[in-house]
Amino acid sequence: MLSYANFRNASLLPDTEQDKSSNQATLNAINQLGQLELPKPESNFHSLSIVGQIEGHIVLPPQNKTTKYEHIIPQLVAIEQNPNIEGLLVILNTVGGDVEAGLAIAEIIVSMSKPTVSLVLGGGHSIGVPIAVASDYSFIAETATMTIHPIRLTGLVIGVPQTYEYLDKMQDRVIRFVIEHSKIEESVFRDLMFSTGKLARDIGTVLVGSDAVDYGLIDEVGGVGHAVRKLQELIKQRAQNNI
Amino acid sequence: MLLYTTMPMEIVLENLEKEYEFKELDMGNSKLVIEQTGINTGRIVRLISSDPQDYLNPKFTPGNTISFNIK
Repeated sequence: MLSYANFRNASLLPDTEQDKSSNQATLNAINQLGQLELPKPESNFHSLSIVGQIEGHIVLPPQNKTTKYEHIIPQLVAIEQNPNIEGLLVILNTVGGDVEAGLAIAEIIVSMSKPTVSLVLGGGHSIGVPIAVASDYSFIAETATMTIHPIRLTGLVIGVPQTYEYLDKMQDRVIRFVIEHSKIEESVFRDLMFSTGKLARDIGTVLVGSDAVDYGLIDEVGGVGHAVRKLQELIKQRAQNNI
Repeated sequence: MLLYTTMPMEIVLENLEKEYEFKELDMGNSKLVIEQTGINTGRIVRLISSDPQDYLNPKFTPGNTISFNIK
């Protein structure tokens, strides 16, 4: 349960404190090392990391590392709107999470007019799959994995046919999104999702690096260097098309 | 809530019943929902603002600790 107390007309202190401490850091660097801080190069794209659980409508307990959709969604809006930002790099290392929140993030990434590139590092499982395929071009690290498995219902489940139909519908949303935004065939994706004997005690498939590319789910195997180069390429292409 | 994750549900949802007490800071154009950690310090839980650029401000990232002044 949440309870709120309201503070009106509050102001943040760290503004001045942080300024002071950053000035202090500069002074220390000059005193101790005899050099100034390195100039920060301006980046023309933003990088967004989707890590841990994708948190949906319920605040998850603190043992979970979470990506909060209510913060990510306005960030994506800001990136789309800000004229100084020319592209977006999405870095994924997620175990999945809320279906609604994950699909919302994926839909926003798809509808962005600026070039987007995604990179799956470590893992992009379950609802991480639609987010990974949502970008214009996707990369997967050689050792990264993507688990594709059926959606399960949690909590109180009523044993009626409608429950199954509802679950099937939710699953179809995910499947439709993935097949529409990647090169994988629907029948292949469904086979991977419902295959038995590949996961211990569970239904589904784990795709490692190049497997995901072979099935057409991801565009290319690569790392951060490839991803940044591709993004700059797409940014340049977009600039040329706009002229 | 429909969770699509490879993590076992009992791990994800452990301690779900924990109660939180959040406070809201009115900052003029935006609001910050915080979990108070001291008399005038807190951890940001959420930013509520209609200016999307606020969300790119690293100062307002959820999880950041802030100190505030109540006038």
